[in-house]
Amino acid sequence: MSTPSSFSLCYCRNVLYFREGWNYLLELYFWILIGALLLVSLTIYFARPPPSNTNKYNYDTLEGQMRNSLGYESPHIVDKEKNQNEVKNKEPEEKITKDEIIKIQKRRWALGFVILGSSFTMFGAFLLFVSIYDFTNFLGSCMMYVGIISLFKGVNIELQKDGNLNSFFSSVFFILIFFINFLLLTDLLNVIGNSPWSVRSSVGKLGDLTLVYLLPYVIWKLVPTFDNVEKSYEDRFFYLKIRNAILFSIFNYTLLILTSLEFMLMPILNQYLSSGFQISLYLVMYSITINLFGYRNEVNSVNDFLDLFESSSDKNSEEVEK
Amino acid sequence: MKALANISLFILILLILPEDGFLGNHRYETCKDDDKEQWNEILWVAHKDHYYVCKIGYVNGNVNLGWTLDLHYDSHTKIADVESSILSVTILNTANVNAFIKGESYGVSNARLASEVFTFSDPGSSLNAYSVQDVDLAGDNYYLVINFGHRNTFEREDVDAKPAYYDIFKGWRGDDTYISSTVDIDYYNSNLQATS
Repeated sequence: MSTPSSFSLCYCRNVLYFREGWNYLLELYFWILIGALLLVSLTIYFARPPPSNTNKYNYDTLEGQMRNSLGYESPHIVDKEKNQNEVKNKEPEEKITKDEIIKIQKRRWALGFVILGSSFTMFGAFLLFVSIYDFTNFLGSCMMYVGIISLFKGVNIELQKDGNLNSFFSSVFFILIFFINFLLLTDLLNVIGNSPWSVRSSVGKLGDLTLVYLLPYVIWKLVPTFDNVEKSYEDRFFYLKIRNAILFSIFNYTLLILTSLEFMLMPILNQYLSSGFQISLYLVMYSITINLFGYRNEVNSVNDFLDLFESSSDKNSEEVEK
Repeated sequence: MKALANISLFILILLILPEDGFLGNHRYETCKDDDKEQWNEILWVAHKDHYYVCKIGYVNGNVNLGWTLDLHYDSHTKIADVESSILSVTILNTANVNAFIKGESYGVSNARLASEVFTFSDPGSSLNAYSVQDVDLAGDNYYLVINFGHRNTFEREDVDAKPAYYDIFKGWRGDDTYISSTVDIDYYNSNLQATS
C-alpha cells in the first residue's frame, strides 16, 4: 500500500477548505434569497395607502362635488326627498365600485405571485434536471423553493380576495404552508436538521426557528389589503390575540406528542417542536399581558407612541398633495 | 371578570412553562455541548430512584460521540451513595426512550454504543467519561439517559412513574449534591476536515 505524497495531502487539504467555504457560500446565497422574499412581503405590506387619505383619494365622490360648483340648480331649491333618493341609489353603486377595485388590485397581486412562482418553479426544475454542478443544483433548488412558496402566497391572496376564507380554513391553510415550507427546507434545500439541536449555536437555533415558524407565518399573514379602513388597536403588528396564541401552543404540543410517540415519523420536526412549544407559551403570556394592560386607551402608551409616527406620515402625505 | 380569567390563565401558563411541570411529557432539557464548555446540572435528590433525560437532537450519519459526568457533593451525602445510585448511562433513540420510561423492554439502537458505553454498573468501566469514535447512527433524535434506579433490567418490568413537579421541589431538602453532565458530538466528516 503506497503512502500518500505531500502534494496529494496538500491538494486534499485545499479541496476540503474549498468545500467548507463553498457550503458557507451556498448558505449565504440561501439567506439572500430568503431576505429578498421577506423584502417583497414587507413591500406589499407597507405599500398600502395610509388610512387617513381615504376621502382625498376617493374618486367616487368627486362627481358630486363638481356638480355642486357647476350645476344649474341652486342648492336651496333642491328637494330633500330627491336628495335622499339619490343618496340611496348611489350608496350601493359606490360600494360595489370600491370593492371591485380592491378585488382587481388583489387579483393582480395574486396573478403576479402565481406567474412569478410558476416561472421560478419551472426554471428551477429545469436547472436541477440539466445541471451537474453543486452550485447550479442549489440554485435550482432555491428557485423551486421560492417559486412554490410564491405560488402558495398567490393562492392565499386569491382566497382572501373575497373575504370568504373563514378562520377555520385560514388555519388549515397555515398548517398546509407550515408543512410545505418544512418539507422544502429539509428535503429539497437540506438547510435545516443538519446538526443536532444541542450543538447548534444560539444564532443557528434562532435562524432555524425563523425558517420553520416565522417564514410560513409571514407567507400566510402578509397579504396586500386595500380597504383603506382605519386600523384598530387589534390590527397593530404588536397585538396578538390570546385565542391565536393558545391555538398556536396547542398546535405545537399536538405535533410534539405525535412526533415523540412516532405516530408521525418526522424526527427533524420533533427537534424544533420543544422550543416551538416553549416559545408559544411565552407568546400566550405576552398576549395576556397586552390584553390586560395595553387595550384600554387611557393606559395605552404604546398605542399613543405609534400614533405619533402615523400622524407625522399622514402630514407628509397631505403636504405632498398640496 | 375578563381580567380575572386572564390572570388565571397567566398563572396556569406559569405552571405549564417548566419542562418538568404540567404537560412535561416528551419535553426534555437540551443537553449542553462540551465544545461550548457548558454543563447541565442534575440535582441528585430530584432524580434519585428515577431517571434524567436530556435531548441531544437529530443525528444522521457517522459521528464521534461522548459524554462526561462530574459529581459535586456536599458534606451530608456520601459520594458512594451517589455513585451507586447511577445504574446506567446510555444514549437512546426516541423509541427506546419511550420504552425505557414506560417500563417496556428496550435497548441501545447501535451495536457499538451498546458495547462501549457505561451500562448497569459494569465493573470494568469508569463513570466519568466515555467517547466512541465513528459511530454510524440512523436518522433519529437521540437522548442522554441517566438511570438512577428507574430500570433494573432491559426487559419489561413494573416501574413507578416519575411524579409531575418532581423537579420543582429541588433544593428544598437542603441537599445540594448534583451531577453535571455534558455531551460531545461531532460529525465524522467535519472532524476529518478540521484535522486534515
